[in-house]
Amino acid sequence: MSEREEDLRLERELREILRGRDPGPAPYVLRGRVDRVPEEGQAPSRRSMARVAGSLVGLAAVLAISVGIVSIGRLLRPDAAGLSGAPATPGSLMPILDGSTGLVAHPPIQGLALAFSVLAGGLLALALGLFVLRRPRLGALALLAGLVVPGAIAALAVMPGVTGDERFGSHTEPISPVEMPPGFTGERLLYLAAGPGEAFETSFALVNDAPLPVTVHGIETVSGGPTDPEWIAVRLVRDASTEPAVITHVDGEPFSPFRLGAGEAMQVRLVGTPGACAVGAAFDPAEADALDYRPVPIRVVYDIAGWPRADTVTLSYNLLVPVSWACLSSAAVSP
Amino acid sequence: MLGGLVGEPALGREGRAGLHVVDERSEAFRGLVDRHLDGAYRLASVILNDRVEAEDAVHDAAVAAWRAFAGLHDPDRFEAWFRRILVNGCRDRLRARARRRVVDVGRELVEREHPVVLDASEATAARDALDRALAGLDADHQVVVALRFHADLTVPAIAEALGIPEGTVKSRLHHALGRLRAAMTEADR
Repeated sequence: MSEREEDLRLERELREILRGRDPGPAPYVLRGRVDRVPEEGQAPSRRSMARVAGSLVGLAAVLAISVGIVSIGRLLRPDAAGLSGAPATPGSLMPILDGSTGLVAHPPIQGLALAFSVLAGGLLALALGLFVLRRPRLGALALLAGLVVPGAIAALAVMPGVTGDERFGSHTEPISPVEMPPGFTGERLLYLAAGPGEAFETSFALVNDAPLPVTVHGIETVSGGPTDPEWIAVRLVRDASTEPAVITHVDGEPFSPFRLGAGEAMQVRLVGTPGACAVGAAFDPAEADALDYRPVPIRVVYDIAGWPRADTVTLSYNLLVPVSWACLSSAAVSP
Repeated sequence: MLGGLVGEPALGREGRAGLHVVDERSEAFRGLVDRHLDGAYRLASVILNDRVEAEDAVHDAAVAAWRAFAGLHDPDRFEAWFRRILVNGCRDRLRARARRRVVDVGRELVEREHPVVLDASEATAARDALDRALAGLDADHQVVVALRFHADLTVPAIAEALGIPEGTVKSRLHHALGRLRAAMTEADR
């Protein structure tokens, strides 16, 4: 059979098949249903209302997702690296400020969490809209994204992070020699002997206890009162060794953000100043009632897989700055 | 185009006494739909191969057409316009049917033991194979085959009915006929 004859036969067979499906004129019941359409068809059907609702939800979802992404982009933009400023009074401990100070502001964690919440909410709303619009596969994808995003953020926020220890040794100066009472097993207290405008330092190891690599951006600036202690600079000691040794003053290198793999550590040296009311070398534990003690908080700012964190470093010792009550009172009264 | 609402008691079209609000637009719509209802029902039945579903498809198309009726400015275009609504609805139903992939076990068992013979005088395996192959085409191809070989529409008319370019119509017809030809040839062996 030629191709032309095949085509004719195919057409003939197709027409027969389709003719077999032809039921003839429309039944009376259908005529009645169609006849009632102008009366019954005024109100939007549930299906079309659902479509409108789905479209509106989808639109709101896209808006929320856009706001979330833009906010996240702005918040994740790196802050101005460190603070500038010459030391108040030159001292032997004061590092040469030849690079970044390594001091950074508190990261916008809450803002980011809010932005990601908006994004996740938008994705879930988008999923709802897609399901209403009968796009189950796309809806499932949006639903998965809406659940995975907050889940991942939560995991990054709560997993173990950066801590501190003294695996490379520790050195703090100047400190006032204070003997602990016999049998004292509490936290080691180091009373700084630096006076107003003078520098003190402490060095220890920053350790990554997270299961993922982290990027350390610096130490958080202390936002206390004008008489409170504050950090001046962070230095890195890259060739620190775990060999037992007496650790002394090591100047270190200028700070730059660095990466720590899981379990890795970096020795850092923090330089600070005790504030205007510090007693300094005149500290006498016998006059404890006339003194207050201001702690020097050490909070490291870093990120895990891009998610910012700021965790307090807990060491075996506590740095305290003895300050005079009289000075604090007059500082409070003075403008 | 059509007048507004005029409130008057009147008899219904079937002669039933009742209080029907005479609406010129409603009457115009009814008249147009009634004129093309048989053709619409037959076309939907051929596309869907299911009379009950075809009734629903025609009713849904009438509802959609009523809601968009104010946008139809030329009554002479009603047939082509309504057919487009209907065909798109039938195509969506075919797609939904394919997604559901409901296996009517009972019907399958019956057909296996008592195969349906389309034509007693010309019971050919080729025609059965062709029928199965036609049902196995995707929705877009089934629709163009029905419009071409049952409604006898030209390629431009099919393109207008589906809202697609003529080249796409030709491509779909070519693809569909190729598969159907292969099924018929296979059955002839």
